[in-house]
Amino acid sequence: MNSKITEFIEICNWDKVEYLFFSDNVFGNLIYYSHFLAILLALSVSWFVITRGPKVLLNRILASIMIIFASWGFFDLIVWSTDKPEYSMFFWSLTILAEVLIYAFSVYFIHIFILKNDINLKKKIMIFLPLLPVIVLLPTVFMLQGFDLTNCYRDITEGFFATYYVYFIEIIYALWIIVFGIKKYISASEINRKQILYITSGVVLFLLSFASGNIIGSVTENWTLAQVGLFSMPIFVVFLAYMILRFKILNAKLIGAQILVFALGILVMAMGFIRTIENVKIIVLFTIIFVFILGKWLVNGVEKEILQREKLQKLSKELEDSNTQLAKANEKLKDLDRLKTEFLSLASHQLRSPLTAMKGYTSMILEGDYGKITKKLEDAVSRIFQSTNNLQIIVEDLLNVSKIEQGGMKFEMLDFDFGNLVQSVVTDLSINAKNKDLILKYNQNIDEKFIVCGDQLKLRQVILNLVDNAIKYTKKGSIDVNIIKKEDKAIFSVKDTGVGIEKNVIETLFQKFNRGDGARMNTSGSGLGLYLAKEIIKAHNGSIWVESDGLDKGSTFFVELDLKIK
Amino acid sequence: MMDKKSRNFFAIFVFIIFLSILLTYYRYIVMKDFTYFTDENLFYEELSLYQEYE
Repeated sequence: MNSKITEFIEICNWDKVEYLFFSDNVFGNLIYYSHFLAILLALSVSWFVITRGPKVLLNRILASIMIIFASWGFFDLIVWSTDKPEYSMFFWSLTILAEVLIYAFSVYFIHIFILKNDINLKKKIMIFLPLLPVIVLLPTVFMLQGFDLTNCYRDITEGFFATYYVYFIEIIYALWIIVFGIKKYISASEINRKQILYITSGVVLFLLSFASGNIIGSVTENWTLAQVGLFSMPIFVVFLAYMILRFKILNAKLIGAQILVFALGILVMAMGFIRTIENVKIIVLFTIIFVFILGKWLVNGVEKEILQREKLQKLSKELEDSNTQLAKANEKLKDLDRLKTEFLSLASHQLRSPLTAMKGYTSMILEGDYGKITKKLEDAVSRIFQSTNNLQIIVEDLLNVSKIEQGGMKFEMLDFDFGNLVQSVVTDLSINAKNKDLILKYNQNIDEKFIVCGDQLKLRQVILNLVDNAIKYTKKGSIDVNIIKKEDKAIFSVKDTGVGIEKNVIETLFQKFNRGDGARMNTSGSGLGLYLAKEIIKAHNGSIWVESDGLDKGSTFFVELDLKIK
Repeated sequence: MMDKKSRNFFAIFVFIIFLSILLTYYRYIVMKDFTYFTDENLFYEELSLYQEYE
């Protein structure tokens, strides 16, 4: 170094720097100190993303960008504060290197974020190859020409590569991101479009504000103004935060609290390094605001958490108790139900044999197999035969109910003419109607066929039950049996002029052991007929229902079945 | 995760960057081999402004 240079350096009288970046040589102290905030923000984000997914490539790329940005801030701090020209030269060249790396990694980041997959090696080479001239020429005059000692501002005169090539590739990278983002936005789905828009805008804004600061500095040589590039980090963090909140990627409250705590720490720490009282006042003001916001947020948050936790604990205990009681009751009910079904089945089977024997022998006596009997005896045996028959029907019903409940009822589904079935039931029950002086009519169009697919025997049981009920519950008048076709359905109806049914009784009529007004009418029955009818019709994908205008106004029972369409 | 070829590419890339930084360090910090741009008249002109600012 010649004597003139030494003389100029002595005249400038730069303050000796301590620990690399603590000195009075800085211009615009607040902007200088804001380096710390930007560095710490960048490092916090990188720590945050890498701890949440160290093996995820996207997280690694983002963390790399943040670390390189933090390094850029660190190098810039030294450039600002150093009193040694050689340090200015070295760290200034490192800032240029850091800059271009941030751009290249941002392009890589956008690709992985949008494509959700790593890119091939060819694309990676395309992204990073333009950096090669910058890296190779870093120690040469093409990057930095020399130290500007025409003034005391510790400026560096940048070379061709630093001034033109670096900014040229930065513009290309920024355009690359924009064009890629637009292309992917157009072809993406609605939810992905928003993500692409926010992340692309965030990254581009970050890079542009970063570049604008450096471009302004290089062109105007006003490096104080150039520090606006530092604020690109908060812009990116805001977008990242918005993305997190908008798409609920991470726990926003936790991030918010962490960021506030860090910011508070930085502000308190910064007070130890500020030399002027005005700046201390500003820092103290910001600190108070942050403490207030953070304190309020934390207190509210903790209070809410405690209340919610207590409420949850109480509800949880109540739920647990209810669940235990319900479980016990459920077990009891299951046992009872199982026992009831088993009993029904057992009892019905046990009753069947003696009933069959009774019916058999009484029938044989009536037919004269045991010789001629008197009229009186014949009447008595007839009654026994009839009662046995009725009892057998009840036992059969009980057996069917237990079968249904155990899931053991089988259906033999075949095509048959429903009209013929109804006709045969009406014919069988016509004697019963005649005995009660009731008119039993079946309005059938002989030429019309009602082909359905079903278990003929079981459906016969249903129709028999309904017509028989109509006869039982009608004192005088008529019973009209009808079938009509409605679109692809056959609707069977049996209308009587009997006792009618009250509205509240209709609701429970098809339940087990419900006989409606059966007790009042003094008619026999188990109360299972309609329940069985409902289950059988349900198994045929049909419907059964009743309509009545009230007591003594008659009632109409309907059955709807699907017609077999050829 | 990255494939092996990409990892090798980045390894070489990082090595070149490291070499470049090392060379830059050697040139500027160790050898102090760089140019000082000086202009006496301009220097004293700027100096008065600089001292005012300080």
